[in-house]
Amino acid sequence: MTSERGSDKLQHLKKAEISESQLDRLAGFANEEGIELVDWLVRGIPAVDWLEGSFHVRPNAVGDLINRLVAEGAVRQIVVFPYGIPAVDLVEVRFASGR
Amino acid sequence: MDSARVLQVHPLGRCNLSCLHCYSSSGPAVTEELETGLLLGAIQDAAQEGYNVLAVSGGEPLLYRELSQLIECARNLGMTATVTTNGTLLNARRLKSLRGLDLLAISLDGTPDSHDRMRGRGSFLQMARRLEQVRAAGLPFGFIFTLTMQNLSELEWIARFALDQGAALLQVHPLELAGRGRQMSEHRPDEEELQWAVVEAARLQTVVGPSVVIHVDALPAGGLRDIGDCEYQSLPFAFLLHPLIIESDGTVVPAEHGFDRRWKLGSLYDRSLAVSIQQFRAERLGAFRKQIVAGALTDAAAAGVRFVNWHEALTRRAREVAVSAPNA
Ligand code: SF4
Repeated sequence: MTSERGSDKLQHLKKAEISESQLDRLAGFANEEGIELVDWLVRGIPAVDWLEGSFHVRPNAVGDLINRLVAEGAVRQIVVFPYGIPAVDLVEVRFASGR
Repeated sequence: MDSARVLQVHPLGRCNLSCLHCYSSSGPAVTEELETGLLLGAIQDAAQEGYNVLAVSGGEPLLYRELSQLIECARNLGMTATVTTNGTLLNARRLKSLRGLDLLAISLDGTPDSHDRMRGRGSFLQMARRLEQVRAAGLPFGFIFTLTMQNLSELEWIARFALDQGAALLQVHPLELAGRGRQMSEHRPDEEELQWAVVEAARLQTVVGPSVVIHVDALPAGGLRDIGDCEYQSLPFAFLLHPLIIESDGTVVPAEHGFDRRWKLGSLYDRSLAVSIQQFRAERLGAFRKQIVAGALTDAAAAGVRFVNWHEALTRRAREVAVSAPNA
């Protein structure tokens, strides 16, 4: 093994930008029924270069939320994590954007 | 939301492999093995206290003859049952004994070369050639990847492998500096690498789609909080301390295998799990919360990190703190 970081080899992680208006829209999703913003971290104010967060969503609202996150374009990474075994009753949707 | 409150059980220390990073220092020469009766009693006690997942690990749990009894016991109590294995010993007979299992978690440490470097020559092939039988048995299965400082770039290979093999889960678990893993401190992923792992996992999730859930054992630091005093009084024990670990010598500890013995709840050989929990709750949970949980939260906030390997943070904090615990 070398002492180089594994992430140093992942150049695709080191790009992407997000605008202030996109940021506002993403935060705005949280005001909607059935969607709870549980975590929200921004770095680089005023020029935002990193954003990550997570929503808790009812299972039937997940598809719609993901479509809208994807439509934002700058959101490059989304992970969906279902809770409740065997019946999923809540889904966490995490997203990240930027360097 | 019904969160996972895990009772992690290590019924034996024996293993057919001797991996470089093994946090339980398992291997072929280790003989420690827990009596089945003690374990069955502990699983029942744990269910009473609100634990809803039994996670059997090792050593190699497939070498524990009464493994199916543990699984059956947990399932009868309404718990989810999972087994973590190196996968090399899976055969038709053993797969049959795993019937009813909710998840078989198979260790996978990177590309075949990397995996063999950690686990011994030929271990990747031995594991991979068993996967067809696992699929045929209809067992839900996933892979557990030990993240080091150097191997995040292999996660994509693993994610695609998991997808091709029909796995349901890919869990990314940061290297634990316990057991033989203690010799590998320069390979421990730091907080920055952990953060990149979360982002890379999220990216790969979109690559492999929803059939393989990629999960990183890291919590968003911004979401961490201690629960209030009232909740502490009223909640079942499992909500206050999980995972709870039973090691192969019968010792019960919080959070991680090898957790500082000053915070052990007891030993199954001395008293039942129910009694250990009762005593810990009455006499030491408050101190644990103050010295370890609150301390780890402060450490995380001071470090300004985005993601925390929470169980490791507790373990580290417990090592650092000078404790005046009753059974110190
Ligand atoms: S890491 Fe797992 S497979 Fe390797 S020696 Fe330890 S118990 Fe055995």
